[in-house]
Amino acid sequence: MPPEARPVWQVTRYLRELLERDTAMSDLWIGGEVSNLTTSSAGHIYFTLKDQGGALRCAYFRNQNVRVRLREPMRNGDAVIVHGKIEFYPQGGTLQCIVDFAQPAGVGALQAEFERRRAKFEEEGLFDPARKRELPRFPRKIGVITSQTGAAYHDITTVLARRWPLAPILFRPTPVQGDEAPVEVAEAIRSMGLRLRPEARPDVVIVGRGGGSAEDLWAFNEEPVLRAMFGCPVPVVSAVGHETDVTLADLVADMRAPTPSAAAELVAPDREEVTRAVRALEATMYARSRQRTGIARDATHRLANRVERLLPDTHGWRRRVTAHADGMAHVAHRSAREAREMTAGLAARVQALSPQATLQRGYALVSTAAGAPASRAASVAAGEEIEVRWADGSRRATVSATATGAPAGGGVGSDA
Amino acid sequence: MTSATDPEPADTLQAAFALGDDDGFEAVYSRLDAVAKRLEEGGLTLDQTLALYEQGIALSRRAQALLDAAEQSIEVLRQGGE
Repeated sequence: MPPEARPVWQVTRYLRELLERDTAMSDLWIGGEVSNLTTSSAGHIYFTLKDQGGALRCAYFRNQNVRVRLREPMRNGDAVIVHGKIEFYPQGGTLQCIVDFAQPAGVGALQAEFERRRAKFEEEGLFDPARKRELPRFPRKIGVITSQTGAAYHDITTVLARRWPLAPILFRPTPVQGDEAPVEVAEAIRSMGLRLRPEARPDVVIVGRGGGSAEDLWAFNEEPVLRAMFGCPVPVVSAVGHETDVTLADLVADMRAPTPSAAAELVAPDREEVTRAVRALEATMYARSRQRTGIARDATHRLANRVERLLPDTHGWRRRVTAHADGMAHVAHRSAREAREMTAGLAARVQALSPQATLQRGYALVSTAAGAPASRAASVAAGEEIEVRWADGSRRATVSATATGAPAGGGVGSDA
Repeated sequence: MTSATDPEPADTLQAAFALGDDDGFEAVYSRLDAVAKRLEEGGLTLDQTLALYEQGIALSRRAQALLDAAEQSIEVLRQGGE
């Protein structure tokens, strides 16, 4: 039985599928020399990559080749390395490499891969400056993702404790190198950013590790980490290795710090500085309040002066009242003196009218033995005892006879 | 009674910058900053000035108390923990 002849399409389809299943053929780097380079009117670049032992057709399509086509052109004879996949093209019966990245040879493989990924994620917008968020001015809670045993943890917590102990630290330990690091770091970022309730989340996250070789830092160029950072709802600060190490995580982060210590400095305000700022605000408030109360005081003084001017002249009135009072006192004094003088006059007159004064002039006063004044002759009878008083003394006498019409008693007052 | 031209009552103005019980530093500081700015702008009555100044000092004291506060706490979020 002759072997069954297969149709061509079956064979070519089989070859195509065979290559598609082979993961080594779908993601590989190839180094060689460029020849037969052409650029189609649509912008696709076609060339043959060859070396001493072989040749491979390459297609570098327009949507992938912008950089090479416009900025860093490839030329025939260039030694390059390309990244892409091997594909069987059934219609043409040809095998070709679909290139998604190309760059000059001589760069290390790791660096080339780094550049390839950088181009890819840049294209995707992961590094978009417009997406970068401001860090909180005064963080409430600070997330830290790094190795528990590394220097980075110590550096970060030391700086935070000095500068901004107000904010609690939420620390998620994770391996930062090795095969599981990319997935672990990515998970740590998600656990802080998305898994926690919003109020329990930190409001800024530091992700990083201390220095090491490019291979040691490689986890921070891996896609899971980059995607987790990109998707994190709060700002992320990257702090990987030293100043000169740049990872893709640095490019995705909202802010890149050259070292873990520097990341802590960026995230945390300086407590002393803020204290000074608070005191300065207090001084401003004090100065302004003083100024305002000063204005009020001056206004009060001005008003008081106006009121003073508008009021009746109390001083003048007081002066006048005093003058009146003085006048009245003077009058009163004078009245009193006159009264005294009048009183003295009256007293003299009263004196003149008293019997004593008459006696002084030589008259005598007759009274009965009982002491009643005997102002008339009829007041005494013959034989009655009487008393006769002169100015210098008195004598008892007896009435010897009565004589009508004659001076009383004849004897009485006869010796005056 | 309050017409559009009446100054805002001093106690209302003061309440606008009042402290909350569990305000974080940011809230306290931004209010303090706002009070200082308001005082700097001027155009306030004496009552308003004194009320704001009093409020500002309370905010400043709270801010400084927070700044002087204790040691930093560190909480560890374990793998698989929520």
